[in-house]
Amino acid sequence: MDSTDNNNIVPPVITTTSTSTTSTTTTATTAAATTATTNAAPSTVSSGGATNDQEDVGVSNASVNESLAGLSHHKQGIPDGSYRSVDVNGQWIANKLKEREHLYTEKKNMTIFLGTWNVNGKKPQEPLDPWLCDPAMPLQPDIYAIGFQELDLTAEALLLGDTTRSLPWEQKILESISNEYVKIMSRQLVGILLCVYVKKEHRQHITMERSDIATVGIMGMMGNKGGVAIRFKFYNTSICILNSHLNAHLENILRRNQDMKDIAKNIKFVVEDNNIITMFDHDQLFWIGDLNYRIPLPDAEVKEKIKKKDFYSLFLHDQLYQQMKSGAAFEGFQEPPISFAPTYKYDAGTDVYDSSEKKRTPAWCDRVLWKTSKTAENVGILTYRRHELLSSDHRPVSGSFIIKVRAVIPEVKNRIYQEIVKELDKKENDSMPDATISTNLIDFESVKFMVPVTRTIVLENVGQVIARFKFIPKLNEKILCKPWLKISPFAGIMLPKEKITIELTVYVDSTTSYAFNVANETMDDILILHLENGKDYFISIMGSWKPTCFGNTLENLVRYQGPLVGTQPMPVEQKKLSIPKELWRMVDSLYSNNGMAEENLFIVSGVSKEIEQIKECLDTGTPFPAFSNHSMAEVIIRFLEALCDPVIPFTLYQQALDGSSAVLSCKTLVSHLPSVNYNVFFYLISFLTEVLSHHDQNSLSADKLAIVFSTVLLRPSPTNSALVQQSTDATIVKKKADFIKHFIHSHNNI
Amino acid sequence: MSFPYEYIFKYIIIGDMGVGKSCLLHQFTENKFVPDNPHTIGVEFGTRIVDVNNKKIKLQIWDTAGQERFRAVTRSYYRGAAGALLVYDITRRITYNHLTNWLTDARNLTNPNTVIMLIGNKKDLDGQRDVTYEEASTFAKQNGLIFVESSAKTGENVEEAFLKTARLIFQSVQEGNVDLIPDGGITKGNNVLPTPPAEQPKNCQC
Repeated sequence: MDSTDNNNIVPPVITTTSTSTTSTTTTATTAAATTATTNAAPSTVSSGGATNDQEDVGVSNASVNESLAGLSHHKQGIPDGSYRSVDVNGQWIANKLKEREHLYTEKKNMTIFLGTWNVNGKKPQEPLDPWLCDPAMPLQPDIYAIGFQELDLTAEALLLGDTTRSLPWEQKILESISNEYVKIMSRQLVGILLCVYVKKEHRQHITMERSDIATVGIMGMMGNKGGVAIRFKFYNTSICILNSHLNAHLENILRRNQDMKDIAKNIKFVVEDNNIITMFDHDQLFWIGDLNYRIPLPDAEVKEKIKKKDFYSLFLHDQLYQQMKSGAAFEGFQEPPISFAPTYKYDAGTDVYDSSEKKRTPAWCDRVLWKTSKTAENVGILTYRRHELLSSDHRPVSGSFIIKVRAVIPEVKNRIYQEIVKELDKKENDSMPDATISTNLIDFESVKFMVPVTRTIVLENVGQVIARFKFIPKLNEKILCKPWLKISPFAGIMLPKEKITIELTVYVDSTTSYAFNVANETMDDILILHLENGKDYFISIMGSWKPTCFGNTLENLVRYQGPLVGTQPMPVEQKKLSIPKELWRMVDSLYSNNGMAEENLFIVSGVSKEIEQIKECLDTGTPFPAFSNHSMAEVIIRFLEALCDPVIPFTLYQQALDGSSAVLSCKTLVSHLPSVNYNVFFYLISFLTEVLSHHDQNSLSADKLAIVFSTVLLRPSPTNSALVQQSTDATIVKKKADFIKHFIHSHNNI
Repeated sequence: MSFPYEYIFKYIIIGDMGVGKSCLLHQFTENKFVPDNPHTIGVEFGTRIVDVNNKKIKLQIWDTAGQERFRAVTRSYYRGAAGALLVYDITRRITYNHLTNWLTDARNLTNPNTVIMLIGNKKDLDGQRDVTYEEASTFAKQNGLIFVESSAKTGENVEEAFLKTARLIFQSVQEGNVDLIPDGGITKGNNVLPTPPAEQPKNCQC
């Protein structure tokens, strides 16, 4: 991921994800590493500590995103289900983009020149061309990284951090390298200076430039030894360059080793997402400088080998080589093969090795090392040379290398991004729950009063995720379905492939029959079955309802002169029957069938088959078949019980109970009944009086009849559950019966 | 890495039964044409992220049942739509004749800034054409709709129809004509999920 096209502020996020994505690119590294080191006869062993470049893992700004999404949702409530969270999307896209980096990037060979020179406190005198513009360099490098040591040996520099000495050297560099270059950054630590330049054409591809310094020695306070590091990203390749000056003297090998480790430990950079990385978290790490490792051989022997240009055998004794081989320092670093004479120590201004009393043995103090991360492609060695600038007691050294960077091709990247987004779409669409439903149409066919009919729907989870379903109300409605329908279960959860059977039951009782019997509504409904995060199913419900006098109203029934089935009701304003003819038919048939004499009439239950037949005949107007009086008596009770509003309406129930002990209040109440109710009430009272007159045969008493009839004539609204519950209490039963008894006894007096 | 998407637009697809609403959805979200798709009995749902002015926009598309008997129920899904695709079948005039009803619903049940696009589908069946381009185009003009003829079968103009609508909505958003959160029709950020059209029942089964 190219950080240049990323302007968003990214919160610190998950760096561990990089492991899986970057590890796919490791295979080519080993081969490249081999080619890079073929010329190095006894070159250093690369043991390669594992480091990953983690700073450029393009994890999305998940939390920023989430907070935005959060802001916009205060109105919408909590989205149901949260498995499609923001992080998942952003991360997924970022990972996929990283995986396909090779598709939208092209490899470019870039050259980097790394120079190091210990100038021994000298001010610049001679042009730097022989060092920086060496004709042996096949190309103009794309990047120059130039390091100095002992730039400033004054006490001021040491103690006060005066860095004015660097300017003339930077000036000198610019005089040598052409004006095609711009400085990326320079950093100084007392005498140690590192300057990095890049060709102007690449400037925009240098990002995340950072620098850091590390001192060594007692308390790390004295800055004459230590390291300066500059890191940056060049296209998509992260590069770190460290210029160091380690402790001097032949015997100080362990000191130098420790210096190296201290520097490596202390150099830190803060990069994208506030991640803190070390030198080793880079694709390419170059370590240059006066490392001060010596050759522990007699001076004469060394000079003899130099004379013979027997650098190979000399190198075998090089302390740095030995330390690297044993793994004591610079673990995993490599160095190009050395084919030049030791660069230290000369008599300044001459070609003569130290002729002073100290007679320091020549050594390869000045070196260029590199280390390529396991996930990056190794560098190619172009040159490793010393240069004949004479003003210092060191000779400058340079190494130049080919680095393969990946440059983003913006159009291709965009296309691939689109593809990935499309994949995400598909993934997301696939991850929506999906279910099949056995039918979208439930026909209950013929539905009868108080006869439940059940049909089932089988819902099967055919998606790849858990499906949560629930029935939801339609727009502007509060309930899931019509009150005569029951759904069980009305919500649930299904694992993939799981099936669930949903029962739909129609049950019409006196609380819901009004719609069909009186309001002439058709029996249909549409249910919405909602899958969370997914689609909605509509389920059409239908059934047929035959008009019936059960679950009807007195007011409505007296408008029918003929049977309910097949007759239109008379207009409301026209003359009505005084009582429902169905009631008259039943009472009349009991008379004709000598029902008055039937023992325990209204106490003994009827025969259910006959009851059904009688009900059917009442609605169709056909003559009753042969029946027992008990069956007919029970239908009368059922008829009264099923009335949507009883003969004594629900609204007067409490009043009736309250006044049940007083004849007068009972009579007053009845006298205020609607006319149909009044008629029906006295029709029934006359009938009951007649029944009682046959008490010799039927063994009935006013008490018995009053208890039976009060239960159906005087009942609480089913919606008032408290009253319904009380209504079977002995005291209430007695009050209700008392109410009726007043009339049976005194009927003749009304 | 930038936002996976910056806005979410809710679309509804409406029109008579059998005009190809679901096929348009599938063509757009999956580049797939499924002949003999069963009638949608309910509301299907699909998403796709598109690019408008270099912004990633997630389209949430609700494909509704076209049958007349579900009309009352499908109305509940119009609310908050940022875009409405009003579809008819160029080979069946009756579906064109019903546009006025659909349009009335769309106008009444969405907000004034909802972008309504008229789509004459089944362009591939030009031989059986029953409604001319000119006629429909005039109708669209009169009613202030954008108009395109498409084929969910070949994919012709499908992309265009959805994207054109998105561009117009986006324009509206940029001009500040549209609130970001009218019932979730246009939302910024990332986390919108389909929610039921109406309120939850309170402790109530039936």
